Amino acid sequence: MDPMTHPADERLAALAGDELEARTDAGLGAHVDECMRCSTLVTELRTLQTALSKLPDLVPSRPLRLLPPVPEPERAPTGVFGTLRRLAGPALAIGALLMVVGAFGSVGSGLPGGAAGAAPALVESASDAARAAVGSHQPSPTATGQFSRDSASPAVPVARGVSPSPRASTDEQKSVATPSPTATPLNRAPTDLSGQGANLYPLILLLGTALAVSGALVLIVGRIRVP
Amino acid sequence: MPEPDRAQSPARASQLADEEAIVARAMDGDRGAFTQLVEHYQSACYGLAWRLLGDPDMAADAAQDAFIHAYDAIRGYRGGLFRSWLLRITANASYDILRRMQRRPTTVLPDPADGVPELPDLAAPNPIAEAERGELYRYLDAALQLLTEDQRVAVTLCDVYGMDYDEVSLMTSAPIGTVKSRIHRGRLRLRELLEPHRELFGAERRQAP
Repeated sequence: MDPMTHPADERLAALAGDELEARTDAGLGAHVDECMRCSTLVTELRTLQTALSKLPDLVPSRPLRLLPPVPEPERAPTGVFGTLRRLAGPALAIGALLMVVGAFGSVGSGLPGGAAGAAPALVESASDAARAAVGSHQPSPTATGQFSRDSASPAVPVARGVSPSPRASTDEQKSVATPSPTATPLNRAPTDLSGQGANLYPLILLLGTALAVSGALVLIVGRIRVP
Repeated sequence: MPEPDRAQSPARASQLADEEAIVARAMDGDRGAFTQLVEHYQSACYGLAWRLLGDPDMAADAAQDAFIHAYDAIRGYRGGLFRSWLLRITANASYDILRRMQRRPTTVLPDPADGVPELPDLAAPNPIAEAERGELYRYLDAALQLLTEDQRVAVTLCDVYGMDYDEVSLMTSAPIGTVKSRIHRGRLRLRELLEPHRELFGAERRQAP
């Protein structure tokens, strides 16, 4: 390199930074060795870099927060409201369960699904029993409290165990053992008795809904009051 | 531009004794250990943030952001110098703020006589040289703030905090050639700015090997 033609200052800065590309440039090195201006520049840049590398750390202008804040544990509410809040979760869960049981039970028992559907069934079974009693002039429940299949006819009801003939007795036993596929008003009476249990399903549904709604309300209010 | 507190400027924080053990405890979720680490390096982090941002409040915010990020990320720490790891996080946090603010330097080189004069360390072997060094650092910091943002970031990360070109390139999303060019121009500009005060470099030259 011509000693009178100075390399670009950026090349000299690269040399001062000890960059491989500049360091291995023989022409650049030879020029700097001979040129006072360029060697001074390189020396000053190296001095500057040394000074920069020794710049001290600085004291923060204000106290720094060194850690993220620990999330505060949720404060347990006390008193009556606290008790309600503690009960709200389980109440909601139980209410939901009762709602499901009530809803499925109502559908499964063939009821319309409400308390209004249960009442006609009870009335109907009661009037059936009354009609049977009037028709026979003599209440004739068997020893077990059940009516014979044939007792719907005006004939004398047959008490179980007092069979007029062996054949009749066999028929009776059959009728007791295998329920008739076609329900008559009288033999529907025992089913209605169990139907009284099925009629509880709307009540269960109602109770479940009330519990779930109350629980949800308490939880919502609690979240507003205790953020 | 407000000057950082130099009345008690600490020297570069050396590595913490038993640092590996403290880092291991911090990685296990020991908040006390993490606090110990961050307390030790907070001046380094704040210094880096101040040099990149040029504002004490923004620098404090950046340092705090960096500490919170470091706390979240410490389980992923893969060894090496903890100080360098923390400084990289601080540089990223500062650079994020810088990108958001897009601030540009508008002030002139301040007269160091206006600032709080730093008392020479009387225990030092050469108190006069130490006093000169303190003044030199004030000028250097002030001159750094007069560089363009790109140059200041590159020179600060590379020359002040010893990051290599690859790291600076990654952090600033600039090609290595661009990073080199910014550093070269930044150094030349610094030399120009400090030309009237070249006598201050006497102590550095005398100390140079």
